[in-house]
Amino acid sequence: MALRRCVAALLALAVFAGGCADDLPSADRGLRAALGGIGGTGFAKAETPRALRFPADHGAHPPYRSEWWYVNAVLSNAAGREFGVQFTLFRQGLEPRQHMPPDEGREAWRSGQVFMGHAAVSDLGRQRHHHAERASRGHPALAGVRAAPFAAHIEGWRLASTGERFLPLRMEADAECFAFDLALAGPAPVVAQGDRGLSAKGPDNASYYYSIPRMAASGRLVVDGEEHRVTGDAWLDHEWSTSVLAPEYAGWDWMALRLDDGRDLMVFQMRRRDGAASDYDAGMILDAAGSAKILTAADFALRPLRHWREWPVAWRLALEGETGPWQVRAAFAEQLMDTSVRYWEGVAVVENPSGERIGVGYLEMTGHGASRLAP
Amino acid sequence: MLRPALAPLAKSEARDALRHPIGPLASLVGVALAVLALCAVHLLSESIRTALGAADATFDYTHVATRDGLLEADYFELRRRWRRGELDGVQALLPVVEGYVRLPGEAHRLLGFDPLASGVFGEGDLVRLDGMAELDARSDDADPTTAFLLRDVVMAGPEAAAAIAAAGGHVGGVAVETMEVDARTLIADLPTAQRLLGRDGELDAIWIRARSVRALALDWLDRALPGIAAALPRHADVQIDGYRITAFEHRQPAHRFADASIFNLGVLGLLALLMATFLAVQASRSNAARRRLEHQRLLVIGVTAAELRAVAVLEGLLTGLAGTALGLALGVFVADVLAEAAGAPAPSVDAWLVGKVALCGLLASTLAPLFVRRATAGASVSATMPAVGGWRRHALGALAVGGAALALAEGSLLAAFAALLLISVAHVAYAVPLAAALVGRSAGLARGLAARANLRSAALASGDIRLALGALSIASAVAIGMGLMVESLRRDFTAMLDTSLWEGVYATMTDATAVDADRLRALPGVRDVRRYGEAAGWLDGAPAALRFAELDTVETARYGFAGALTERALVNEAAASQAGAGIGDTVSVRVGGERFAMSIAHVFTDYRSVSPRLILPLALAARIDADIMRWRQLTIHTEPWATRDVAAALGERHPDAEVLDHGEIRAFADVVFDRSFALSNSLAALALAVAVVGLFAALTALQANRLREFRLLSAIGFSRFEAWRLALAQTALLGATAAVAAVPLGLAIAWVLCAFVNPAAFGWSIDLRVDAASLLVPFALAIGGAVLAGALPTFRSAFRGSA
Repeated sequence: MALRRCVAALLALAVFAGGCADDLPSADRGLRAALGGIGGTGFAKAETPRALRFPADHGAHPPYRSEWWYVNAVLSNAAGREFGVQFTLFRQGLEPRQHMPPDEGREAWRSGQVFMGHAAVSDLGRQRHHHAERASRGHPALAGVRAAPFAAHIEGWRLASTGERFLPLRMEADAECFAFDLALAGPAPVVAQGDRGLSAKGPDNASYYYSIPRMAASGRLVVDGEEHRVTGDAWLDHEWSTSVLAPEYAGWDWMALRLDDGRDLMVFQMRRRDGAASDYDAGMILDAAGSAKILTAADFALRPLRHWREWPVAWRLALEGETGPWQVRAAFAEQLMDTSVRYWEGVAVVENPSGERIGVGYLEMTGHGASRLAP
Repeated sequence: MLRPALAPLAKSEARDALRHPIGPLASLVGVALAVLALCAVHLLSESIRTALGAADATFDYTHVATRDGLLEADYFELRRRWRRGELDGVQALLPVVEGYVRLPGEAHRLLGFDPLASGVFGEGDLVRLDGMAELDARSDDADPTTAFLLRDVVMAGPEAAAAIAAAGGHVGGVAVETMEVDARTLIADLPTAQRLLGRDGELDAIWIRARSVRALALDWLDRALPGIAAALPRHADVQIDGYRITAFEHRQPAHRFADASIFNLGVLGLLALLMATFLAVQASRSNAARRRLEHQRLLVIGVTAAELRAVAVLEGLLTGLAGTALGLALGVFVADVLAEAAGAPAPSVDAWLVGKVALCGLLASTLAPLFVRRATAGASVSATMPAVGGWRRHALGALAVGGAALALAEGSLLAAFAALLLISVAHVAYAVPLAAALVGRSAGLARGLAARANLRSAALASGDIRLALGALSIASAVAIGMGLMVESLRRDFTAMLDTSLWEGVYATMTDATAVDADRLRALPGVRDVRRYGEAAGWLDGAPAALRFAELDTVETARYGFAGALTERALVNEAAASQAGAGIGDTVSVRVGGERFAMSIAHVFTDYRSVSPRLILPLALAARIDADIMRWRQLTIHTEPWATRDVAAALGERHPDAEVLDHGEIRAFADVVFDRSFALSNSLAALALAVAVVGLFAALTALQANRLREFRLLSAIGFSRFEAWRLALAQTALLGATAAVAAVPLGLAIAWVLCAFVNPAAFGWSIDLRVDAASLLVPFALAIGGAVLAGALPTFRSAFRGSA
């Protein structure tokens, strides 16, 4: 799964939809209405497991309201200097559609889709985090997604297959202070999250969700005017749904970690407003041989250890079957995504009880701070 | 905080203020009037801008980029360049197609754009369409804002929506929804507008939102002095290869006109503040002079000069606070009344306004005592004639004149006003002392002791109250300058009416083509009948009004051109400025789907419109889509004796027609003209009133020091009445001194207004002509005001002095 689904849900809620409508300024209510409302009337819902069908499922699912394609990567240059890269393209349907629009003509403007892109780079050596955001209506010349050969783009930012097959991918984005152009290559297994791809997030809330946990990443990275040749590993999520974060949930904490022993781990916890434990905390661990095990709330425990502002940037992670709890801590604290909706997303390192680094990955947290667009 | 030991000092000041309330009261009144002016101008400007902003949907975009044959593909390419960081300072791009759609009885402007093009949700265009939000809030099943993006729907303001609803509720088969914004323009999603206008894939312009540090600074400055942005070249820093870039304010003459008017009014408001400052300084000087001995004794017993200043500043602070509160209340009231009269939205007071006027009011009232106490400690009534020379004064005068020349060479509106300020500085430095010195020198020429004494005394007094006299002189000069400018404009305006208005009848009707012209020509006394076609079009990509007429020698003469035209056009000054073109140049005109290039035959002065207007040969009208053309204007050229009968006949045959004869049009134009300058004249009068109040305060203080002089007059046989008359004549002389000094400054102001301010602000050129009334009335008002200001103080002194 990935909390991208939840990010998208949050975005849908707070950016497009806007939380409790009665509390919103009229302009936000207008935006909410313009962008589809929160009811999801007419959209298909993720309710039962289904077989993933590729390459079609790499593309957009316009019968569902929300969708995103997400990639993170932890990279290093020849001198060993580490960087993190994040790219996400969100799709939000204004009304249910069976197909994406034609490439030209008046109907091209009438896609019924709105896209938002987020790109970020973390420079671990200098402890600097850069991020950027783009948004556009769906239009072949502006933003859109194609299943085969796969391509997802928003105004020059692009995640696309370089050939007929899904992998390898090329991922490129640029902004005022950074740019990246990375190749993401396999072989890498596609892992269906949850119950055969159906990932439950709450009562009557679920999504279809698959991941490619470990792709080989290499390419060019420019940060603060310096260009680096970089290599590393990347994680991809693709998720689509219609239902949004249930009202009783304030947010979530999610982490996707690549361990040095070859295993890949993803866990998330849904945070209830009343502080009670959630039945929908879940995860997945994939061993080096490519065998995946789905985790439930009983298989792991997360507890915050240290905060930066309101964001818990260090966590105690206790995983069933492992000796001693691990610490998952932000590589540096200031990796806030100060976009239309604020959330924290950045590079985190995994340490064993002895304080030795045993892995690296990405940590994502939402709902801890006030949204920019919140009333 | 004052030391406890200073409490008696503060009490002493308070007692003195109660015994001699004229000074503090005058300061209070001056501050109140100045704050009133500032407050009213600010509120009115907000109100006018709200009305204009609602009417013209521009969503904070600042520039318009156009090129011939603009297509969606060009927009996408430009957007790619922007995203690659090749367009410096550009924050957002908006693809726009615009045109006119025909509705029953009226063609409505339709603006189509991509509401999600700003690129950042939450700060983009759609959020600004508050009317949509309201619409959403009251809609149940229907979701018109979503429909705006998904299906063909047109949004209209309440008035247009009502008209459309009455005619079936559709525009070209597209449903119309009401938005709560009082916009004249219909808006639609880009593909909807393209469909309605028959222009799939085409664009008219790409709007640009550009912001620079300079522009942001100007926004703040504009809040401090509304309209100042119109006085400066703005957003001139956007350049894109292959595109013509026009700043929005140049495409929206109404905005620029309003801003320029607001700025002009704001400057007059500042003039009132300047007068108030002079007044406060004069009151402080008088107070210092009157209480010199008392203050010296206080210094001897240990009170420091700083403490004396602190008490004076405190007094000024209290005066300023009271004056600001009074002025604010009056300003809000006046703005409410004026806005209601103008049909503009009711203005609202915000913290910014209160802070601004409070700062101005308090500065005017508190800085003066600070300055005066330090400078005039120990000052006494002058015993020497005022000096004209002195190297500092020469240097100041030379700097001011040089600076004014440089400012005028720069040419912008703000520079023109800066030049006026510098000229005024030179005026205070030179003209007033010079006039006073001349009065003193003329004492030797006067016959009789009393006259000589009077002249000499007036000259001496002018040194003591030179600030008050300077203020009166500047206020008079502004009145002279504005009067000359207005009368010059009136003459030019009248000349324009003389040229353009025939003897005859002018009718506006729903359809002038329905009129039987031959039957009208058969009426007794009718010499000619003409119809005029009108259409809204674009001149070099900017909106322009087009008029189609038979351009024979008679018609072109109305615009000051000799000769008939069949292929060339007449354009007004605004159009020429918009296109950056002159006689002989060719401009690109679009109306509907028709485009043609027109050579300019003549540029005419057009005081009736600040918007671009083109007069085109009638033959071109045949090429224009009939849905866009309107034939509503009809003129009937008549013999003078037949005008009334023809008007009556036309009205009888066409009850829907609005029929006016040329006399009625002239009368209406005169009313509009006078109304246009009513507010600025009021503000100039207000400044004059503040100056008179200041002079009153100064004379009151001055006369208090002349008891001995009046006793002497009494001793040598002057009656109380004669002594009063003598003193009154002195104040009249002082007024005359200020008025005489005001004449050259007034002429300079009029010249700058006609030759620099009006062309820069409104695009109008005005030939300055000097008329006696514009000079004499302010002259007489200055003398009358001085006599009025001096009547009571001199009366009290004369009768007390001879008692």
